[in-house]
Amino acid sequence: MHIDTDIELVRQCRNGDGHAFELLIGKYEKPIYNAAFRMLRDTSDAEDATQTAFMKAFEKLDSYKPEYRFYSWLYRIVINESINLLNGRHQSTELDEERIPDRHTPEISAGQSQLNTTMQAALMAISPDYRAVIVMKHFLECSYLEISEALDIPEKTVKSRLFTARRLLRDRLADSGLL
Amino acid sequence: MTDSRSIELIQARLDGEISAAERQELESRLQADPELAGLEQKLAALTDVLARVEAVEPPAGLRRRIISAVVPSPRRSNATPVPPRWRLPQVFGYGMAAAFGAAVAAIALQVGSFGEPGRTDVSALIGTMSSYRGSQAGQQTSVGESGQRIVLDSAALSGSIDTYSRGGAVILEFDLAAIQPVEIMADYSPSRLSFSGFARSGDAVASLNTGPGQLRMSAQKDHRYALLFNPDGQAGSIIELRFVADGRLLDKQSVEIPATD
Repeated sequence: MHIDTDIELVRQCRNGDGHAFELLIGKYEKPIYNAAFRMLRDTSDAEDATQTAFMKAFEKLDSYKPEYRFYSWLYRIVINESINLLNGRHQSTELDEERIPDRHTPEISAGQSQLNTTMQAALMAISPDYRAVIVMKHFLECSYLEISEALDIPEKTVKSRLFTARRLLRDRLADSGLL
Repeated sequence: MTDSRSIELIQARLDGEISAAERQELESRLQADPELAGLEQKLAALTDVLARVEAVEPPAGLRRRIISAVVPSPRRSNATPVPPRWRLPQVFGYGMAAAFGAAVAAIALQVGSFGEPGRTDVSALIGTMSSYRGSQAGQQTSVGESGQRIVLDSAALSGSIDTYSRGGAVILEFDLAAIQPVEIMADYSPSRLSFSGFARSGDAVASLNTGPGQLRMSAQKDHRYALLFNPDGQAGSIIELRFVADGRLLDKQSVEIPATD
């Protein structure tokens, strides 16, 4: 991630250069969408969360502080947006693929299909707070510090939450035969 | 019971956030505690499985929707009138257009030619665009029954290319945003189409090079301009578009110009 480039693009956005924000969208569309999808599983919800995250980021650009990484700030927005969507829809922690009608899954290779399905089901079976640290660590490849900034929790909490999340996730995957 | 320090060290090593001193400390702990080694293996196995899960691709068109929602642009849709930034005389007389706009356009445009003898001096064809409607109350006519809009949605280039007819001319209107300099090449049959004009929008900067049956447009970021063609005869034709950056073909599209009745 080119932090200096992001700060420069944000500066241009603040000066009214809409094209600069288009470049930020192009750069972060995929990780933001992946974060939302891994939090929500549903592609339509993930699209909504992605779009809302960018809209909120655009609206709040003036409040962004350059001493923090731009992508940490952006990831925070999409994780919070995803959690808001989950809370609003009162998702059950026990989700079974067969019980969810009309869920759209993204296009993925056949070889990835079973792995993706099983992993996503396991992710949805742990609470959003634990899911968030797993998503940020393993799907967004954030450091402890970046996760701490994004979720506004101490690094110590990041580490302990990661350990618990990993144990829960591992148990779920072992139950499904993947581990 | 595994202590918190050991857990912290195991995770730090798995996550690539361990120092050399901490690595040594962890090795000592692992050698002294087989249960700890077992825990590390379990967490490592989980990390390996997570690493095998591939990222998913965002749905096609999502970026365009986000950009449209976040950064509204004055791009025209088929259902909306031409915005006033496009200024084109009702009858696009190129001498008039050149006189009207050449002084402004020449600042922003670099015009050249290449290849076999063909049109070598296109400066008279360059202008800014006045409203297509002029004094006419008529509407644009889409080329073909369904009209033509090509939407590009890639990391390097996104936007639209609209094709329609006006006053007997066929107009290709480019409204594209690029993250790097992109060259657009348009190939067409010179026996069926004559290049008749190039017009830019606002302060868009572009260069245009022409050759027989081929045009090359280059811009740093935004491609906001229009190409005008006059169909020669009644037979249909095709304009082949290629989008190139750093010598790589990014995309290619075909624009069909149907035969006139």
